[in-house]
Amino acid sequence: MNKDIQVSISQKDDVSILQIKGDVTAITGEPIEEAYQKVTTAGAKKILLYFDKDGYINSGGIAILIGIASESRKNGQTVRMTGLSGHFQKIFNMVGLTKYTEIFQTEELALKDF
Amino acid sequence: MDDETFKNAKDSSQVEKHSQQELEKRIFHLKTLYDLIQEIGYLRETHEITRNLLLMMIGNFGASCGFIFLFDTGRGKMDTYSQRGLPKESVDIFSEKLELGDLTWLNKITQIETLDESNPAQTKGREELFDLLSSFSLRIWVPFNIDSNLRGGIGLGDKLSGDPYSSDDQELLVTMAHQGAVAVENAKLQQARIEALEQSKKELEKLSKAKSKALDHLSHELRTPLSVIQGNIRILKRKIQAQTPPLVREEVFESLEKNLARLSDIQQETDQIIRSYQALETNQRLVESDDSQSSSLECIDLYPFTEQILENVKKQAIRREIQFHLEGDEGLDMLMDPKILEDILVGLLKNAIENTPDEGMIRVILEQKNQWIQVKVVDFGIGITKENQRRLFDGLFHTLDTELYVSKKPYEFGAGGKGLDLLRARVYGQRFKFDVSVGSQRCIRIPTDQDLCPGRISTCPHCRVREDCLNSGGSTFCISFSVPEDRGY
Repeated sequence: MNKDIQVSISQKDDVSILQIKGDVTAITGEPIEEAYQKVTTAGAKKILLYFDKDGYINSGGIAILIGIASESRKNGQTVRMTGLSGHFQKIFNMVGLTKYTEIFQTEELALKDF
Repeated sequence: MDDETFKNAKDSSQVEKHSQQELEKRIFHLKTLYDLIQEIGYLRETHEITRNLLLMMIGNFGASCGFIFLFDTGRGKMDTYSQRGLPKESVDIFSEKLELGDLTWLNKITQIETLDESNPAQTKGREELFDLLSSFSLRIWVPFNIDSNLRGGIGLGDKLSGDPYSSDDQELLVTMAHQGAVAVENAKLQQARIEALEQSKKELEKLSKAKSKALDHLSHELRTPLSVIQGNIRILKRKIQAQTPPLVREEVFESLEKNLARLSDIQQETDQIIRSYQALETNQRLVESDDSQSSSLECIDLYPFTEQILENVKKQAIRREIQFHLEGDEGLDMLMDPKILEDILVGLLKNAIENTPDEGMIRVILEQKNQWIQVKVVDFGIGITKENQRRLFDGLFHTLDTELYVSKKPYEFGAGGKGLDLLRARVYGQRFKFDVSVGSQRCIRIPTDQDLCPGRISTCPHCRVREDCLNSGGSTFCISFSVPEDRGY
């Protein structure tokens, strides 16, 4: 597992996009949480988590995403995800994360009708 | 296809799909177990281990929330706790209760517990425990014990998927908790080792300071009687020499004065070593008269600067038959206090001269390697044994065995090779951020400190020609100065 992660924030219309490059783990999850807090403080209601297709996500990373998904519900936000490989789409479905968020195959599809 | 066949095919397909999903789930769980070692195995802080362990559990089961804690029953204090998705207040109340001595819940969590509100028979007689789980919105609870003192638990909330925790899930949770407990235990042991080492280091420092203080005191105490004896000898000498014929021969006074001068030198050198050590301990400059002024950094043109110093040193060693060579890059310059650089270079050159026999050679090389400007003093002398290299910079080291090589004047072969100069270079290095290193090969003809070098190559029984000596041993002292990144080399 790589301990380096890069999280960049960009805006497309009213959607805040969190671009995540690197492995998502319990250790590297903190910058994602910070980026989420940052856009939330800025009033974001629509958030797209854009993952790196080559990135690895372990259970610790999934817990971080569950935390974000759960908080987004309380904050009245909508969180969508894209860039995930087929394997992780299955895993997210298995752990029930897809009940909180929607997964899209491409960024365009995710942004459509957001 | 008739209805029956269609139904069978559909059932078969569903079974296959279910099996596939089950297989993927198990692979994911195994992967979690593997990842857990990566996530917590190398951590040394208990709160980091417990935090990551909890996250791995939540992610693995897709739990809505989770709580982990370790309570130190010996100290009656919460050792660590971490939670995700729970109201902070309920965690605080729980912690307070434990710290106030109410260990009811802790004592009741002795095995894996699951809360099934639809099964009243399960809760009967254990209402308190299930009230706890319920108040935290926890669905499953696992004991998390490190030893008889450090005890705790891990709880997870409902699965996001809505599925109940199966017996396989329970087994996996217990396995993960055990892994976590091992990691915490290792971290605690490691912490205890580090603390013991730090304690030993502190005690050693204390002892070293006491030793330094005692030496300092002795050195000061020696100075006064030495001065008194020197004065008295001068008076005695004057009075006795006035008598005819003299009662005491001149040679007796010469011997007395010579030995007193030696004692005085030793006292002064000891004094300087102690000062250098104190400076090293406090990371300050040497407390010497010419060091009392603040350092003045100048851009030094290294080649002509070294050339000048080498010329001065050669004059000091005029009686010695040694060839000196200055080589390397003539275009190097550096920012440094010239007095300090001179001190270091003179010290290293003097050390090299005193360890090089007559007819030998000393090279000074100036060069830049990546981000380092290096000044190397290379001698082809007797070299330093491996054992001595280890204590080379401790200030008390002499490259020659002083019992075997009689005390001589500075720059003479076997004059002692002042360890003080090397210690001083180290002190300066620490303050001005440069590195002093040494590489040495003891002369293969005289491998131990007890073996003597005659001090002249042509009288050495092992050397037929000069090259035999040059190839037999020597030392290289290298000072490396870091070049600032914005310099355009």
